[in-house]
Amino acid sequence: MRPTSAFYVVYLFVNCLKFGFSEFNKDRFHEELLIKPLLGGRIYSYFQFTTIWDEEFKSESFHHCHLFPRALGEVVARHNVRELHISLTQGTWRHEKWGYPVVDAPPGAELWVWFKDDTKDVDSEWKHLTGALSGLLCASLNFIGGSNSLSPEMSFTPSGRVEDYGNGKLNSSYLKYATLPREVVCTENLTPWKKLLPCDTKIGLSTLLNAGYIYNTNYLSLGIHLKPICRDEECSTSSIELKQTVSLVYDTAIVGNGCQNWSLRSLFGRGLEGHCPLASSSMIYVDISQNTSSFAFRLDPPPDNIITTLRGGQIGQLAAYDISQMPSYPLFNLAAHHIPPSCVNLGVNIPPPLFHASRYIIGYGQERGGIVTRVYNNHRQELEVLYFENIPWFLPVYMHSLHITSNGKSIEPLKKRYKPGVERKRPYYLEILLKLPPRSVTEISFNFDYIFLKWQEYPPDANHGFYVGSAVLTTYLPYARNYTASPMDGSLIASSFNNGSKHGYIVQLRTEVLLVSLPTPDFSMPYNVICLACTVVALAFGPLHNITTKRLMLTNIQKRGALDWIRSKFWWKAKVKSD
Amino acid sequence: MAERKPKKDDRKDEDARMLAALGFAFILIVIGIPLWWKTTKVHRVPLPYDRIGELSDVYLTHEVNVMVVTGNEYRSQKIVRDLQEAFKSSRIFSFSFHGRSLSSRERAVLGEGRKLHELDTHSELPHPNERGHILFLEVPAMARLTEAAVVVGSRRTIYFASDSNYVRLVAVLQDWILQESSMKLTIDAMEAPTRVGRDLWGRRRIVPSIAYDILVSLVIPDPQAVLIDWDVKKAISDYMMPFLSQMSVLADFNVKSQVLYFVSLGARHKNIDYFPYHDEESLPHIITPLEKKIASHVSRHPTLNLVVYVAPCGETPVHLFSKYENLLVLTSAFISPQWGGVQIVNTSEECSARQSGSPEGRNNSDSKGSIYDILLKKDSTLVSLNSAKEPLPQTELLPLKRPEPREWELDLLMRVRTMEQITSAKLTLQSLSQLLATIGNIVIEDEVGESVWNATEGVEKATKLLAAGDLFGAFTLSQNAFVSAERAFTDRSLLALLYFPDDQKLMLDWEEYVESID
Repeated sequence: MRPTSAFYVVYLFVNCLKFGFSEFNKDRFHEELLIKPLLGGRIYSYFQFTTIWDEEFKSESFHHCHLFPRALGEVVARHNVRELHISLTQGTWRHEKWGYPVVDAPPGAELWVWFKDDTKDVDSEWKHLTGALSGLLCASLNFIGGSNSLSPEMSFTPSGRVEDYGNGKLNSSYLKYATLPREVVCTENLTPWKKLLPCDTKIGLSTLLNAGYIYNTNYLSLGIHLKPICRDEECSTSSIELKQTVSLVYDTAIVGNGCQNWSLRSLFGRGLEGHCPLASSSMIYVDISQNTSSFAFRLDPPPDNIITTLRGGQIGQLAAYDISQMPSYPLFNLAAHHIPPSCVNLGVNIPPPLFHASRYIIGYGQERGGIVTRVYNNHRQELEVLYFENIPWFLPVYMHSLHITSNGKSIEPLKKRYKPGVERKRPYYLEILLKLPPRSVTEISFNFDYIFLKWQEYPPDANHGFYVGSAVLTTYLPYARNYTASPMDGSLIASSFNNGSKHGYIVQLRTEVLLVSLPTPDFSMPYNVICLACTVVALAFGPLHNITTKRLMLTNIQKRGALDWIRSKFWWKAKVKSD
Repeated sequence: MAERKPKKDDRKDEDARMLAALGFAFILIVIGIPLWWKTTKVHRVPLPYDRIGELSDVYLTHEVNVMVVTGNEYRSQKIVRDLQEAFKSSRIFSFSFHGRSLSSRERAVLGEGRKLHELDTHSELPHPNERGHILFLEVPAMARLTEAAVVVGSRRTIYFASDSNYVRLVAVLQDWILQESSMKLTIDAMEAPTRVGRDLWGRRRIVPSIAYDILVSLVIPDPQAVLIDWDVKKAISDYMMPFLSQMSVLADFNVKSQVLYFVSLGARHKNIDYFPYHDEESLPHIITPLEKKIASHVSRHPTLNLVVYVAPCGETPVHLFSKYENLLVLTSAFISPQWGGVQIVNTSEECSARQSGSPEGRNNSDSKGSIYDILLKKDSTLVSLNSAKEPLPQTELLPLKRPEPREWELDLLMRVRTMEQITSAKLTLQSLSQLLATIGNIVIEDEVGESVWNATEGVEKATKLLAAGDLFGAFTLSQNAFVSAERAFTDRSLLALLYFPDDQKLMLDWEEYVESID
């Protein structure tokens, strides 16, 4: 056989292989599941799949992927992304009842991205990125563009390592934030999301994510969070961290035959078959802090290990199960049995959170309206809160109508950022830093106009209404009550245990979305317009035509005799005959 | 009197009415029609329809410079005349033959040479450096160096023995170096795809593009049993890149790699006497499920997939069995032209090691040499370098010392790419101009117009340069023309063309494609 150039490469390759050693040790994968009983017989289960890759966050790094999903890496590298957060959510998280989730997400789709500071045209990268992500996740993210994106200055600081931004100063023009509150999340999003996992859904905790069961929940949120993190204490080098999260809130009244008992099998439809062999750790944690005498349940099998956590003055207890130690057969099923068996949905008694908010629309008619956001501070001290509002361009708001009152007294914001929207170009942007008085309810309100859209801008089923995305409130809590989020310097759920912080605990919560019914025209309007236009043209043209072509003149009316009369009759008859 | 007055009034009246009518007409013509024209005019950039139409009358020709150097002047001229006679009927190529005798220095160098490799790299021999040029060099007493009568070097030189017949030289030039029939077939197949089929090389050649992604995927369906170490990054940067950097004259190559776990071959293997195998019929069923996980769709450019499948312990050894050729393919690899290739690695040794109590079934990297073996062979086939060459009697290729493409092979590929790109751009422009001329009210935006003008000029100039023998210049221009033409055709503003399926050129992944062009 004729030797080809390739053969030579081959010989060299074989030699090289003897020296080359594994790149496989550079990345680690962790799978974790946190189960927490909530008020009213609800069960919060939070899956977190974390990939940590000891590689600099550069475009070239993503050319050779091991555990990191290449499909995502390719998109991120191509569009010069620095940090990426996507959430796709169905349902609203009830902070006042359920406390704080590990990762907060608004109903619908939310996407916020920090681009690298050498990005030339952020807008075009953003447009193409959303298009690519839309294809990757089968979501309507391609509808994100200039008209519904903002660059908030204060609320969304990078959550990862920030050193690499030029001279350490953040420039929010590299940040893009957008929400699609109408987005419906379903299996077509879950399937591509699952494909990004190294073990797919073949084995490990991800096998619990059965579309048939997880869409029976009150709340479902898929998340992808990518950021650079510090590799070590000195933070001289960075690593890449990818977190894929699923938050689910089950109602035991629906999934557990009306009783409060739950098990993996009742929640997810099947037991757990082993752990992902690629994972460095596979853990299930069950929050048993509220497992008191008044609300007692027994875990079966009993936990290997009970972890006592102390965080921000809160003592908690978690039952930990290390799945990697479990035999793969029989299927592992974790169950909670209540003592005594209770079929009344009381749930655990979670103390109300220190800080939560809700939002609604006021006004009547189809001319003017207003949005009121009520922010609750149940703490005995003042709280500084950052309020970020993203109002679509079709609701022009009046800045002068902004009123902030707390317990009847008007308060002045500490900082205020406002950028009016432009029709079809840019949404209205409002960001306020407030100091909430202790034990207070603060109302932030402003007015807006309802406007008419162009007839092609109405979606199908226009009478359903238009969604207005969530407001985002950010604060630092002094206590970690009801707080489950991972700390800034840790990637895993495990790293949040016993992780006290001097600066408090950052909470970012999203309010409900609003549904506004804009004045919707009668869609036979074009027809009416055509009729009217034709009438107008006819009325204008007719007289002109008459004036220019016809003449009024006098004629002599002669008296006609009988003969004439007969003749005329005859003529008529003759005419008829001839016809 | 009484009768005259009304007449005068009549005339006045008539004049006024005439004036009014004229005024009405005047306003209508002077203001109304231009206004109507202006407000309803479709923005259409003028396009060079005539020039695009004329493109189809132009035949691609390429001038090849051939130098013949032999021991004496007369012999050189004789060979030149013979070659001229043999290639008289060539339609694509026009030749400029030159002949001269060896200089004394060259004669000395040829006499001293112990190996053809030495001659091939010797700086004092007149090896042509211009792309597309060919040198026939007579080596006195070549029998001491090789048995063959004609040896094709790694550069642009063909060595022949003094006693070899000119027919052999003609055959080498025609069948290996220029491959006129293949080129002609390629152009014909592009112009009339329903009537003419491509040859093997044409079918295997990946579509023209300015860049390609080479994606190496290691597929491990059962990582619990088999874990493999491989340092693909180092291997690629050290040994694949030199090869590809030579190829970078033609296009950019980005090499990427990934590891996929828990992905198995979709097709179930068949068995003969417990001997598991896959045959040709099941190969498509292997590629389709792989494609789901490989995520080649996120690439901007055409992707060549090199998949290494590590067969799980329960299945090994898996072989490929050719129904038609009725023999085992020993490498257990197959190629799907333009998509890529799959290499199955059987891990029977590792499996048995694991069963016998080895703590970790971690594979020794030595045994994985074969993976790269196949990958690179595939690679060079897939990047279209290895054209199918019929063996010729008494003629052989000089083996390569380094993993680099031969210069004349690169020239050949560049020549065929140039012709492909010119033809493709020409066809795209023609179908676009025909569509735009047919649909009178479609908007032609400035960008589309600019791309069309660029492409037209590019095609014209590239054709001229090719005819004049400037291969590299023609290639660069034709590539630009090709990209411009594609950009014009796939412009967002022309999406309305989609509604005319008869003239549809490509419909697949429109959005993706539009994005990638941006």
